[in-house]
Amino acid sequence: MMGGAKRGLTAKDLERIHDEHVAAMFRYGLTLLRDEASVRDLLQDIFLKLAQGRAEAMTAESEKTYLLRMVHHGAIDRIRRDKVRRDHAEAQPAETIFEASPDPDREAYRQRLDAALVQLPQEQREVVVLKLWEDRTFDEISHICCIPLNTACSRYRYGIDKLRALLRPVYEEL
Amino acid sequence: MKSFDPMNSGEDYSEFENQLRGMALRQPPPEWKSLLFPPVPPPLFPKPLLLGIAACWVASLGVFLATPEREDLGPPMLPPPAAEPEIMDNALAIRMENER
Repeated sequence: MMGGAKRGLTAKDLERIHDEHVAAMFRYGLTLLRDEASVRDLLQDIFLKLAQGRAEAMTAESEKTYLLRMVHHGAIDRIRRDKVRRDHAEAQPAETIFEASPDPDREAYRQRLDAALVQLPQEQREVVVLKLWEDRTFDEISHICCIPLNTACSRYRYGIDKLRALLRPVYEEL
Repeated sequence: MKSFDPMNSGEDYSEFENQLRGMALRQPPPEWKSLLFPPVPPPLFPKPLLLGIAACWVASLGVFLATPEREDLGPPMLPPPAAEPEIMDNALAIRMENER
Protein backbone atom coordinates (compact mmCIF):
# COMPACT_ATOMS: atom_id res chain seq x y z
CA MET A 1 0.00 0.00 0.00
CA MET A 2 1.36 3.37 -0.93
CA GLY A 3 -1.24 5.68 0.53
CA GLY A 4 1.52 7.71 2.15
CA ALA A 5 3.06 8.80 -1.13
CA LYS A 6 2.17 12.43 -0.41
CA ARG A 7 4.43 12.35 2.62
CA GLY A 8 7.24 10.74 0.69
CA LEU A 9 8.12 7.07 0.74
CA THR A 10 10.56 5.45 3.08
CA ALA A 11 13.74 3.83 1.82
CA LYS A 12 12.10 0.44 2.44
CA ASP A 13 9.08 1.36 0.26
CA LEU A 14 11.34 2.61 -2.51
CA GLU A 15 13.33 -0.59 -2.44
CA ARG A 16 10.19 -2.70 -2.67
CA ILE A 17 8.88 -0.63 -5.60
CA HIS A 18 12.25 -0.98 -7.27
CA ASP A 19 12.35 -4.74 -6.83
CA GLU A 20 8.76 -5.29 -7.98
CA HIS A 21 8.32 -2.80 -10.80
CA VAL A 22 11.59 -1.41 -12.10
CA ALA A 23 11.96 -4.02 -14.85
CA ALA A 24 8.59 -3.08 -16.39
CA MET A 25 9.35 0.62 -15.95
CA PHE A 26 12.74 0.14 -17.60
CA ARG A 27 11.34 -1.70 -20.64
CA TYR A 28 8.45 0.71 -21.09
CA GLY A 29 10.82 3.67 -20.84
CA LEU A 30 13.10 2.01 -23.38
CA THR A 31 10.13 1.47 -25.71
CA LEU A 32 9.37 5.18 -25.66
CA LEU A 33 12.80 6.79 -25.41
CA ARG A 34 14.89 4.07 -27.08
CA ASP A 35 17.95 5.22 -25.20
CA GLU A 36 19.22 3.59 -22.00
CA ALA A 37 20.84 6.73 -20.52
CA SER A 38 17.62 8.72 -20.99
CA VAL A 39 15.62 5.93 -19.35
CA ARG A 40 18.00 5.92 -16.39
CA ASP A 41 17.57 9.71 -15.98
CA LEU A 42 13.81 9.34 -16.24
CA LEU A 43 13.69 6.60 -13.60
CA GLN A 44 15.91 8.67 -11.31
CA ASP A 45 13.43 11.54 -11.60
CA ILE A 46 10.53 9.23 -10.83
CA PHE A 47 12.18 7.72 -7.75
CA LEU A 48 13.10 11.22 -6.56
CA LYS A 49 9.46 12.31 -6.92
CA LEU A 50 8.35 9.26 -4.96
CA ALA A 51 10.90 9.90 -2.22
CA GLN A 52 9.92 13.56 -1.91
CA GLY A 53 6.20 12.78 -1.84
CA ARG A 54 5.58 14.65 -5.09
CA ALA A 55 3.53 11.73 -6.41
CA GLU A 56 -0.17 11.21 -5.83
CA ALA A 57 -1.34 8.59 -3.38
CA MET A 58 -1.83 5.19 -4.96
CA THR A 59 -3.22 1.87 -3.93
CA ALA A 60 -1.45 -1.44 -4.18
CA GLU A 61 -3.80 -2.64 -6.96
CA SER A 62 -3.00 0.26 -9.24
CA GLU A 63 0.64 0.64 -8.21
CA LYS A 64 2.19 -0.71 -11.40
CA THR A 65 -0.31 1.12 -13.60
CA TYR A 66 0.44 4.36 -11.75
CA LEU A 67 4.21 3.92 -12.04
CA LEU A 68 3.95 3.11 -15.76
CA ARG A 69 1.82 6.22 -16.23
CA MET A 70 4.57 8.23 -14.54
CA VAL A 71 7.02 6.71 -17.03
CA HIS A 72 4.65 7.60 -19.89
CA HIS A 73 4.29 11.25 -18.84
CA GLY A 74 7.99 11.63 -18.10
CA ALA A 75 8.99 10.09 -21.41
CA ILE A 76 6.54 12.22 -23.43
CA ASP A 77 7.87 15.34 -21.71
CA ARG A 78 11.43 14.37 -22.57
CA ILE A 79 10.56 13.54 -26.16
CA ARG A 80 8.99 16.99 -26.59
CA ARG A 81 11.83 18.75 -24.82
CA ASP A 82 14.62 16.94 -26.64
CA LYS A 83 12.92 16.83 -30.04
CA VAL A 84 15.92 18.18 -31.95
CA ARG A 85 18.35 15.84 -30.23
CA ARG A 86 15.94 12.93 -30.70
CA ASP A 87 15.53 13.58 -34.42
CA HIS A 88 19.28 13.15 -34.70
CA ALA A 89 19.19 10.00 -32.57
CA GLU A 90 16.51 8.43 -34.77
CA ALA A 91 19.30 7.47 -37.14
CA GLN A 92 21.02 5.49 -34.40
CA PRO A 93 19.95 1.85 -33.80
CA ALA A 94 17.31 1.75 -31.06
CA GLU A 95 18.07 -0.06 -27.84
CA THR A 96 16.03 -3.18 -27.48
CA ILE A 97 13.78 -4.50 -24.73
CA PHE A 98 14.67 -8.11 -25.61
CA GLU A 99 17.50 -10.19 -24.23
CA ALA A 100 20.13 -11.26 -26.75
CA SER A 101 20.06 -14.99 -27.49
CA PRO A 102 23.05 -17.30 -27.99
CA ASP A 103 20.99 -19.26 -30.53
CA PRO A 104 21.71 -17.71 -33.97
CA ASP A 105 18.19 -18.35 -35.35
CA ARG A 106 16.54 -16.88 -32.30
CA GLU A 107 18.95 -13.94 -32.30
CA ALA A 108 18.16 -13.28 -35.97
CA TYR A 109 14.45 -13.37 -35.17
CA ARG A 110 14.99 -11.00 -32.25
CA GLN A 111 16.77 -8.52 -34.49
CA ARG A 112 13.98 -8.67 -37.07
CA LEU A 113 11.40 -8.21 -34.35
CA ASP A 114 13.34 -5.21 -33.01
CA ALA A 115 13.48 -3.69 -36.46
CA ALA A 116 9.76 -4.31 -36.95
CA LEU A 117 8.88 -2.76 -33.59
CA VAL A 118 10.88 0.36 -34.43
CA GLN A 119 8.84 0.73 -37.60
CA LEU A 120 5.60 0.92 -35.65
CA PRO A 121 4.35 4.39 -34.73
CA GLN A 122 5.19 5.17 -31.12
CA GLU A 123 1.50 5.12 -30.09
CA GLN A 124 1.06 1.56 -31.42
CA ARG A 125 4.45 0.37 -30.20
CA GLU A 126 3.81 1.32 -26.57
CA VAL A 127 0.39 -0.36 -26.53
CA VAL A 128 1.78 -3.55 -28.08
CA VAL A 129 4.66 -3.68 -25.58
CA LEU A 130 2.39 -3.04 -22.59
CA LYS A 131 -0.10 -5.66 -23.74
CA LEU A 132 2.17 -8.42 -24.96
CA TRP A 133 5.17 -8.21 -22.69
CA GLU A 134 4.00 -6.37 -19.60
CA ASP A 135 0.66 -8.23 -19.38
CA ARG A 136 -1.43 -5.09 -18.90
CA THR A 137 -5.14 -5.19 -19.70
CA PHE A 138 -6.64 -2.74 -22.20
CA ASP A 139 -8.26 -0.93 -19.29
CA GLU A 140 -4.89 -0.46 -17.61
CA ILE A 141 -3.27 0.57 -20.90
CA SER A 142 -5.94 3.22 -21.40
CA HIS A 143 -5.06 4.62 -17.95
CA ILE A 144 -1.31 4.45 -18.51
CA CYS A 145 -1.40 6.14 -21.91
CA CYS A 146 -4.35 8.43 -21.05
CA ILE A 147 -6.37 7.25 -24.05
CA PRO A 148 -9.90 5.84 -24.38
CA LEU A 149 -10.31 2.08 -24.06
CA ASN A 150 -11.36 1.65 -27.69
CA THR A 151 -8.33 3.59 -28.86
CA ALA A 152 -6.06 1.28 -26.87
CA CYS A 153 -7.74 -1.76 -28.49
CA SER A 154 -7.53 -0.38 -32.01
CA ARG A 155 -3.90 0.70 -31.61
CA TYR A 156 -3.05 -2.80 -30.46
CA ARG A 157 -4.90 -4.37 -33.38
CA TYR A 158 -3.18 -2.13 -35.92
CA GLY A 159 0.17 -2.69 -34.25
CA ILE A 160 -0.15 -6.48 -34.26
CA ASP A 161 -1.34 -6.49 -37.88
CA LYS A 162 1.63 -4.39 -38.90
CA LEU A 163 4.06 -6.56 -36.94
CA ARG A 164 2.60 -9.67 -38.56
CA ALA A 165 3.06 -8.14 -41.99
CA LEU A 166 6.61 -7.02 -41.24
CA LEU A 167 7.61 -10.41 -39.83
CA ARG A 168 5.92 -12.47 -42.57
CA PRO A 169 9.12 -12.75 -44.63
CA VAL A 170 10.89 -14.22 -41.58
CA TYR A 171 8.28 -16.97 -41.29
CA GLU A 172 8.46 -17.62 -45.01
CA GLU A 173 12.24 -17.99 -44.71
CA LEU A 174 11.79 -20.46 -41.86
CA MET B 1 -8.55 -12.02 -38.58
CA LYS B 2 -9.06 -12.18 -34.85
CA SER B 3 -11.84 -9.94 -33.59
CA PHE B 4 -11.12 -7.56 -30.72
CA ASP B 5 -13.54 -7.06 -27.89
CA PRO B 6 -12.75 -3.92 -25.92
CA MET B 7 -13.90 -5.53 -22.69
CA ASN B 8 -11.81 -8.61 -23.30
CA SER B 9 -8.90 -8.61 -20.85
CA GLY B 10 -6.81 -10.11 -23.61
CA GLU B 11 -6.06 -13.50 -22.12
CA ASP B 12 -6.66 -15.35 -25.39
CA TYR B 13 -3.69 -14.70 -27.61
CA SER B 14 -3.21 -15.97 -31.14
CA GLU B 15 -0.31 -18.28 -32.01
CA PHE B 16 1.57 -15.32 -33.45
CA GLU B 17 1.08 -13.28 -30.28
CA ASN B 18 2.13 -16.21 -28.10
CA GLN B 19 5.31 -16.56 -30.10
CA LEU B 20 6.08 -12.90 -29.55
CA ARG B 21 5.33 -13.27 -25.84
CA GLY B 22 7.91 -16.04 -25.65
CA MET B 23 10.77 -13.61 -26.23
CA ALA B 24 13.14 -13.20 -23.29
CA LEU B 25 12.97 -9.67 -21.90
CA ARG B 26 15.83 -7.50 -20.72
CA GLN B 27 16.25 -6.47 -17.12
CA PRO B 28 17.70 -3.13 -16.04
CA PRO B 29 21.43 -3.26 -15.25
CA PRO B 30 21.88 -4.31 -11.59
CA GLU B 31 24.16 -1.34 -10.86
CA TRP B 32 21.20 0.97 -11.53
CA LYS B 33 19.66 0.11 -8.18
CA SER B 34 22.10 2.30 -6.28
CA LEU B 35 21.86 5.05 -8.92
CA LEU B 36 18.08 5.27 -8.92
CA PHE B 37 17.63 5.93 -5.23
CA PRO B 38 17.94 9.59 -4.32
CA PRO B 39 20.91 10.43 -2.07
CA VAL B 40 20.00 10.39 1.60
CA PRO B 41 20.38 13.90 3.10
CA PRO B 42 22.76 14.11 6.08
CA PRO B 43 20.87 14.12 9.41
CA LEU B 44 20.34 17.52 11.04
CA PHE B 45 21.71 16.19 14.35
CA PRO B 46 24.31 13.50 13.65
CA LYS B 47 24.78 10.86 16.30
CA PRO B 48 28.31 11.96 17.40
CA LEU B 49 26.99 15.50 17.98
CA LEU B 50 24.11 14.22 20.10
CA LEU B 51 26.49 11.98 22.08
CA GLY B 52 28.80 14.95 22.69
CA ILE B 53 25.94 17.15 23.90
CA ALA B 54 24.72 14.37 26.21
CA ALA B 55 28.23 13.94 27.64
CA CYS B 56 28.42 17.70 28.27
CA TRP B 57 25.13 17.62 30.12
CA VAL B 58 26.25 14.72 32.30
CA ALA B 59 29.55 16.47 33.11
CA SER B 60 27.76 19.73 33.98
CA LEU B 61 25.35 17.89 36.29
CA GLY B 62 28.28 16.11 38.00
CA VAL B 63 30.08 19.41 38.63
CA PHE B 64 26.90 21.03 39.94
CA LEU B 65 26.24 18.20 42.40
CA ALA B 66 29.87 17.96 43.56
CA THR B 67 30.25 21.71 44.33
CA PRO B 68 29.58 22.59 48.09
CA GLU B 69 27.06 25.25 48.90
CA ARG B 70 28.62 28.71 48.98
CA GLU B 71 28.13 31.38 51.68
CA ASP B 72 25.28 33.70 51.16
CA LEU B 73 26.71 37.08 50.33
CA GLY B 74 23.58 39.02 51.39
CA PRO B 75 23.25 41.49 54.35
CA PRO B 76 24.59 40.32 57.79
CA MET B 77 22.23 38.22 59.82
CA LEU B 78 21.17 39.37 63.31
CA PRO B 79 22.06 37.00 66.18
CA PRO B 80 19.15 35.45 68.09
CA PRO B 81 17.69 37.71 70.86
CA ALA B 82 18.85 35.46 73.78
CA ALA B 83 22.47 36.01 72.97
CA GLU B 84 22.22 39.80 72.99
CA PRO B 85 23.86 41.63 75.99
CA GLU B 86 21.45 43.23 78.47
CA ILE B 87 20.91 46.88 77.85
CA MET B 88 21.73 48.85 80.95
CA ASP B 89 19.23 51.65 80.68
CA ASN B 90 19.24 52.73 84.35
CA ALA B 91 22.91 52.43 85.25
CA LEU B 92 22.68 54.83 88.25
CA ALA B 93 19.94 52.83 89.96
CA ILE B 94 21.91 49.70 89.50
CA ARG B 95 24.98 51.24 91.15
CA MET B 96 22.98 52.50 94.17
CA GLU B 97 21.53 49.10 94.63
CA ASN B 98 24.99 47.61 94.70
CA GLU B 99 26.22 50.12 97.30
CA ARG B 100 23.48 49.05 99.72
